[in-house]
Amino acid sequence: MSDKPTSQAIREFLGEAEEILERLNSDLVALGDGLESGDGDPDLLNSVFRGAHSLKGLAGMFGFTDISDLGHHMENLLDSLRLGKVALDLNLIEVLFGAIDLLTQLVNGKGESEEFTLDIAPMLAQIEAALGRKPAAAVMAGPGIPQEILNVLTEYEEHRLQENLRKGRNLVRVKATFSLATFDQELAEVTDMLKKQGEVISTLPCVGDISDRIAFQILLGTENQPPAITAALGREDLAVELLCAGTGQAAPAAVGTVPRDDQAGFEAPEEVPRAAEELSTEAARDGGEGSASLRSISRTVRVDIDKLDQLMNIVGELVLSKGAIADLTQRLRGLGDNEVLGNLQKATRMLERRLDELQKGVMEVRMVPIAQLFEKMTRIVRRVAGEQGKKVSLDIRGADTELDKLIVEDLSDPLMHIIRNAIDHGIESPEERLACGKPEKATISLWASQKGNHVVLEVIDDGRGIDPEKVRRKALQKGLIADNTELSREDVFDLILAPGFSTRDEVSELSGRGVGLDVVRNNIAALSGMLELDSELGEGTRFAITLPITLAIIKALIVETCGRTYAIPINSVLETLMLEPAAIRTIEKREMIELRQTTLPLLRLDDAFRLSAATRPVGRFFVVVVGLAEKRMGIVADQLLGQQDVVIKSLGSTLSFVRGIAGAADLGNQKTILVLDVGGLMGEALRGEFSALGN
Amino acid sequence: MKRKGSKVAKKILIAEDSPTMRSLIVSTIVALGDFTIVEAANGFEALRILPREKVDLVITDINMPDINGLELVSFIKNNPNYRTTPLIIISTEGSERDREKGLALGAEAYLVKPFEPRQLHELILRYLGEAGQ
Repeated sequence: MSDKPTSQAIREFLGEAEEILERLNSDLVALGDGLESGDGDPDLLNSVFRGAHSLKGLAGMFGFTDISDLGHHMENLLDSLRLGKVALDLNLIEVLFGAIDLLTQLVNGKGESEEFTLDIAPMLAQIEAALGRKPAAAVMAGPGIPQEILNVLTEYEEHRLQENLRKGRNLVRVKATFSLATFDQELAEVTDMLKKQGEVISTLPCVGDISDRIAFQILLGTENQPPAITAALGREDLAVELLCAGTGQAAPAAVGTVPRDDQAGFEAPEEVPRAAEELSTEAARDGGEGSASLRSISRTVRVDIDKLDQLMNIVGELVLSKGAIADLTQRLRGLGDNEVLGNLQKATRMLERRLDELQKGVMEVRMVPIAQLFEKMTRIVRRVAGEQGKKVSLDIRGADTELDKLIVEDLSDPLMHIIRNAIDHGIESPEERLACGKPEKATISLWASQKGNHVVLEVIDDGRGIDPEKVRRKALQKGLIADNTELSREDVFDLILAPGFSTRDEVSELSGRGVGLDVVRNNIAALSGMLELDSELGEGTRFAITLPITLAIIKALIVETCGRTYAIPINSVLETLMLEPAAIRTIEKREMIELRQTTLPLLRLDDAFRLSAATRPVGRFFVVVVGLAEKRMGIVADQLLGQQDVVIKSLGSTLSFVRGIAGAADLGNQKTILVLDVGGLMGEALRGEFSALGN
Repeated sequence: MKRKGSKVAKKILIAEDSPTMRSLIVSTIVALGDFTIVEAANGFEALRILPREKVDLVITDINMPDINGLELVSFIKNNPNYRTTPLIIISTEGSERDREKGLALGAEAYLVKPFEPRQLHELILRYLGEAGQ
């Protein structure tokens, strides 16, 4: 082995570094939120410290001195913070966020090239300045704590011990003995319960009485007394004893003795088990069903998304082969040997079921909660609002909604843009808000919810909303509309999403960046999603993004029109109708049908794709009613050929300009057909923009 | 680098929560010779492994989430079954106090991150003697 790490090792490093940075981010967000409500959680601070510490150590092993230097400085600052030598405030949190940003850039850069580096000196200076702020507080000695416990406390744990004493809390030792087979679950359970009583400072494992058992001493800082803790724990096998009373009470003289009932306020301490050893035999409870297993943490596997894609493709191909087998089985019917046919059908059905499970399984692996993305947005809101002197709180709901990992990744930029846009254009300054009678602090709601096969993301602000008159003037000025054009509500919103539109005169440094909302809309369309906009002047604006849960394999309705076959993704199909030509009415040159007291606009694919209509048959026809979000449309078809699983393949960049097509699909019989982009078609059709299609 | 002879390979337990760090240590040891390596992703796993495997050397990180390295050292050095097992702690720059505590609790040696493979080699050879040669 050479001393130089291999590229495989570097990839592992990058993966772990990314994970650490993500965790740092979310912890820091939580820490900032806690600080705003006046409560700094020592566990969070320690977790941030540990993150910086690990990153520094790792980067050092790989010779990435920039990352390890920055990590080292961060660690110093965080160490001073967690040891109470420097007071934590919002400015410091910003400094830390800045450092994490820089670290993220560095880590990403190393992914491209190991030589990548950035100037970290300004950030180091900022951290140094922060460190110099407050002198260290004196540390006092801890009375009544057994030396064996003091010996194993890290510097940080010592500090926590002092903090607990300073707050006048009791120091309590909990002794417990568990079976070696289940101790981690049981200990986690007990620790969780103890955390409700106070702060767990240290967990010291000790030799058990029998070889297959293990004992623990847990040091707890708490405002409660041992009997109350015992009662709350509700476990017979735990010994709780007071080591050092918080408020002026003398601690028991000898280490390891159980407090007697001559101490005021204590009731019946005899009920408190004396030592774990005495009770270990009673503690036969099997903790196997324990809920929070620590083991699972180390049981995850990090997988390259490309590998999952490959797997997904294979599953896709299998689904197609299954289709072919089912088709052949169908054709065999009536050709003789009924017994073989029956067995074949049975086997096919079994194959179908298992394949279905496999497909679901692979799909599930790709699903990630949207929480990660939302956390990123929390950061952006915090920073952008800070830069603009606006006060914004973020209301997050549905963070556990799951989406395909790739969609989540590709969603990051569009979502960031919408949120920046909301803060930049939507939300007023605190003064302006107060003048309008609104609360000084604005709210941006970031909601996710699952609706069938779709996930809906909403970004709602309570800002100034969109002024239709302003939009109109701007559109006129930009030559997007004619002078006498009448604009409906929807038209106004469409204009905002149109290429080259920006309501602010100067392109803002923030949401501007030379990119308009039209790009956001296109990005979302590329994910087979749909962007909708709604706004009320003075009340706020709502962006809604509707996305399929996953791409790759979809169920599709295969239709034929004018001799061509198309696939319509089934999750956007609401119903199909069979109609006589007389049912069609033409209003303003657009074909419509009446459907349950509403008017449904029709789309003919031969019009949309400019195919020759010569082969259009007369007589009965079919309408496939499709819907996305609140919009409805009917697609005219000559034949419905049935439902099928299809694997969507991209058309490649050469054909990406063809609007209304999501990709190509293989039907399993070497026939390739086009998959319709329902969202895109619908947008175009409802705006009557088909002149632009297909060119 | 393969060792000749029929002696059973010595067993090294590595307790370290960072998977990358762990695999770096493992690859360093693998390069050194014929050792059996047991990995623990946290202190709890180490506690679980100790009675099950006859470990000849323990290498532990100090900063671990569940029980820290010092607690693990205290456990090992107070347990008649493992008391004589040599123990190397791994700490980072700036945590001198934790390191001293570890040595006071009975750890045989320490390494400071970032360390050279050579330093780890020397320590392993010192405590496992000929076995690794």
